[in-house]
Amino acid sequence: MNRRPRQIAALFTISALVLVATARSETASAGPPATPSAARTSTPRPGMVGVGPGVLKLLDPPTTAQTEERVARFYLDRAPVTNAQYLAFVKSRREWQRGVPPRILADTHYLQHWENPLTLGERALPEGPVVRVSWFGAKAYCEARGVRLPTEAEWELAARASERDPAPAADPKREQAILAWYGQATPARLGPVMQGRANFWGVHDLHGLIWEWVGDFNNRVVSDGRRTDEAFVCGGGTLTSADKTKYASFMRMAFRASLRGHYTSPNLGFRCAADTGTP
Amino acid sequence: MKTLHVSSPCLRIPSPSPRRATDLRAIALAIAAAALLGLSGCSRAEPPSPPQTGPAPSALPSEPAAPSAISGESIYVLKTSLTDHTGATVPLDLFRGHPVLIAMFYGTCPAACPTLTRDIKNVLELSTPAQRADVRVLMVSFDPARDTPAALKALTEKHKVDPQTWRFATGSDSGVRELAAVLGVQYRKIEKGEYSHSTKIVLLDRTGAAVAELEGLGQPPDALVAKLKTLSPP
Repeated sequence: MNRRPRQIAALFTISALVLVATARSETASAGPPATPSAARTSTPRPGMVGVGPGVLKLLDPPTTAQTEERVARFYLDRAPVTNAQYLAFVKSRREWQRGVPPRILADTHYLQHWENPLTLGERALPEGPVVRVSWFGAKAYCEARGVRLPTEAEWELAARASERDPAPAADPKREQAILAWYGQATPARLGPVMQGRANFWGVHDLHGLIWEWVGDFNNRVVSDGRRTDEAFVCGGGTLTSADKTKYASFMRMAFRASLRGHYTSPNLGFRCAADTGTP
Repeated sequence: MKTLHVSSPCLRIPSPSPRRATDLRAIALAIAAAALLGLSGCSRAEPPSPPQTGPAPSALPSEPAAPSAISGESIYVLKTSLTDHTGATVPLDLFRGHPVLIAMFYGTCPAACPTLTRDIKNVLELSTPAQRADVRVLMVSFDPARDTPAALKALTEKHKVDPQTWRFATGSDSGVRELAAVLGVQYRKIEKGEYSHSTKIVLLDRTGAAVAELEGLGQPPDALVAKLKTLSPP
């Protein structure tokens, strides 16, 4: 595959880019903290908690005037969807059992680590997060529950919170811990969900267990040869001068941009979300 | 210095450069690879270094490749239903049995989308009369809120397209996001009702399988035209 050398070369380019970004760190303001009282008064669906509202500072502003995104309050699963939950889903929805979906909706590795299409086996703990699920499978699961995948902005808003603060100031130690996980190998068998502490919103496992699908994973234009003009320099400038504590968000954004809807991966799972107006 | 341009508003039309497009894709993929392989660049700058245990190769997405629509499988497996410019609900496979040029757009797009329409007309003009009679064009908006049937009807009139061949339509937010996922189209809403989006013309065979695509605006259509000829009568 002749694309490989170019990808390797690009890796070096990215290393250089990231180093430059480090040298030019700037302070990014966190959005106004959401009110904890709002979280306490909401009545989310079972397994979900209320998150937000909040404001995200965009890593890649599409225009010079649009540097933030407001995120309305929403509900989010406290934990990633587990193998047991996904198994129950495929038992009732044969079209999502391993070997059944067309490849355009789920690649050949879909649920490959399960012992068979209706048995988890030793490599998939019932209480472990389901992985090797395509975006289409994840979306179908949430819709079967009457809910949806979170948007990227919603997911990032939830993931920004520390245990005590919905929008903490930059904390190099915390960011380093998140980044450290990105450098670790995926274990052959993932542990149970909800082993760590919940964040401010009551959400677990946003960092340190798996990568997660979002509903609009395909929202970044990286594929049509955009040219360098003024606006694009601003976009590029954002990446080269970003606050170094935003690396993890940037890496997630880049990871999502590399995905296709039918891809599956041994460390890519999901959780569901809902509008607060959802009955 | 090279930078990664991950987003741009639609009104800025890039000049053709397939090579550059490939480079950008490679960079995006490399970032993803770096994210999963251990962020060596970051770790040197941010003590202490993250553990470099190195993931199994399987930690990468299973097929890291350009977001091409070409899969050899029919996109008609999607159950997406569309609403066309007459207000009628039509299935995604309404043109099953015909070769189809399908593209995604939004109606109020100031420059890129009209250019996209022109590019498709160009492909049709380079085809034979018999091929033109056979092929269909499906333009799907990812802005259902504003691209109402009336707005879509106005577009068919504005662009003076043959209603036998062309269909402007849209779907639910969820449905158009799914269609974008199978076609390898990216979009997101930005301010003032505009979208940042990729532009792509995908050729579907008579069963709905993507067999060729033309990415970017103003690209040479030769390969698409040649492929269309293999699908159509002489």
